[in-house]
Amino acid sequence: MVEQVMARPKTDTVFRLEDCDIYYGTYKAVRDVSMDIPRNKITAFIGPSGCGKSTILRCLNRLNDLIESFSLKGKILYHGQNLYDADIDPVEVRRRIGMVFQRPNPFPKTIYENIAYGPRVNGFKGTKDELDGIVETSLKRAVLWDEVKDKLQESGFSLSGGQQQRLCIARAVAVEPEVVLMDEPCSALDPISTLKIEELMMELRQNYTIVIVTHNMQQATRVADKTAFFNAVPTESGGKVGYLAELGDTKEIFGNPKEEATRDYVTGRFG
Amino acid sequence: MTSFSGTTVDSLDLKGLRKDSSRPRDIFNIIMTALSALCMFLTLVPLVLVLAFVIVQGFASLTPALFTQLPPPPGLEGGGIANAILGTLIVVAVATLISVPFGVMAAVYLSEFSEDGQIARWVRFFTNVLSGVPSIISGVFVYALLVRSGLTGYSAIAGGVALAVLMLPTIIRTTDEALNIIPQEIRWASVGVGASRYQTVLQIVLPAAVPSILTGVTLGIARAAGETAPLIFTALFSPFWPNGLFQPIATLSVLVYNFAIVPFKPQQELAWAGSLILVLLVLLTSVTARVVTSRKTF
Repeated sequence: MVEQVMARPKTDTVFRLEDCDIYYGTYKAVRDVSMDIPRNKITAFIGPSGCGKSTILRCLNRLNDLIESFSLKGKILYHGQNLYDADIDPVEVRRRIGMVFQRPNPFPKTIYENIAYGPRVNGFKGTKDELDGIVETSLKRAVLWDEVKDKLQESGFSLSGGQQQRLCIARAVAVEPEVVLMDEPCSALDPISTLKIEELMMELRQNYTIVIVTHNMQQATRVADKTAFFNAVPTESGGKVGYLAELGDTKEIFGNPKEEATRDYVTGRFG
Repeated sequence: MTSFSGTTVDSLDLKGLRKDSSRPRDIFNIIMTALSALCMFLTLVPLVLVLAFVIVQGFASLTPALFTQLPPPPGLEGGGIANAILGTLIVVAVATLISVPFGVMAAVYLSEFSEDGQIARWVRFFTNVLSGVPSIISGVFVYALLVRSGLTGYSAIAGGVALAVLMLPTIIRTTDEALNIIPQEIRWASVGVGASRYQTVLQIVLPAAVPSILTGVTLGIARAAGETAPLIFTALFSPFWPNGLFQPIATLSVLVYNFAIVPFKPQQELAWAGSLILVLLVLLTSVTARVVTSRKTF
């Protein structure tokens, strides 16, 4: 079985979601999502609050496992392998599929240690020089190196919010994931830092597949190749359930959406 | 044009902005402030009196010999309480060595691994119960467990275990709280780069909580160092130098208890000196705890 997993060829579809229902306890948060996420592209998830876009994002690297009441029905295929098969190790899934969070959350350690932590916990056996190399490359990829190269031994908290977020991106790429998930990475940042992160995403697209949740529709039009619009509808029991309303090229979604709800949302009529 | 109780923009009544301390609610405010200030000062009176009394009485009998010599036999002059100072340090060290690993690990389980299930709720509940147990009960418990059963007899170990029982709830509770304060995002971030849960706890969560945990430990030590009741029939007392962990041992608090009530003047003076040193010791640990807390990460 393990051999089979390893033998699978990389496909151009990184993720394929098949009929995914997501529950918290008995509460159904998301219903019936099926979609493909292409490789080396930026896919944006947009939609009103409570439509389940962050929830779906967190399913992609099994971070929702940490929430006890969470359960998923359906399949999430990563290069054809269902991530929720019983013999899949969620820890290894999370190494390959990195994550950047809404608020910058550096570890209470030095800048150097923030980056070195990932390789170390994954059993890095190389020399000090090689680790230095990883730290430098990662910080360069996150376009942070020039700003911090002289103070690698200072606390990660000493950086500004935008720098901290780029540090978190550097931390995520240090373990060489294939995918980077970003959960509203700019919502706690000022416009200039936001612009830097967006430029960084465009850079990273060459080597990584990026999935980003954003509330900022301009951001989606600026960076995303594909856009998925999620919507929420009231249920009979009084709650709300999220579903995938439309998925397509970003230009299509914003310029010529097929669905009424998408049009209303992207033109700012609700949400 | 909006108007509130006759006030229009044309004729603004600015007099209402002035301070007026004759209104009922202002008078009430002043009285209550004065009352709570008075209560604050009243509660300080016993603290200041106790401290002043101990310092005045203890200072008179403070000599260098205190820290180097053994207590004199009844009826003789001079001597010191060096064995009791050393004994307190030893017994508290034993108690700390026992309670810190158990306490911190228990708290790590509660906060990180229990998923807030039934077990965790009961453990938290009984920890609270344990913190309310009178200290003499812990003494009796260890007396039955270690002393009368012949496992250790009257000894430094037995005293240390009795104090450890008292320190445990403080350490568990403060560590539990310290771990709960660490933001969830930090754990996600660690798990997100492929760390396992125990790597996350050992390398990220615990280090970040260390200052708060140290505070809990020092507060626990400060409480344990001053206890007499659990030591009277576990560590017992000894007029000699500490002689191994499995022998009865002198401690400051028991020395004060023993010497304050005997009819010999030199012993009574030593009791005062012992009280002073004990108070300073506890004060010092509490201040250390405060200083350590101020270096918190979160």
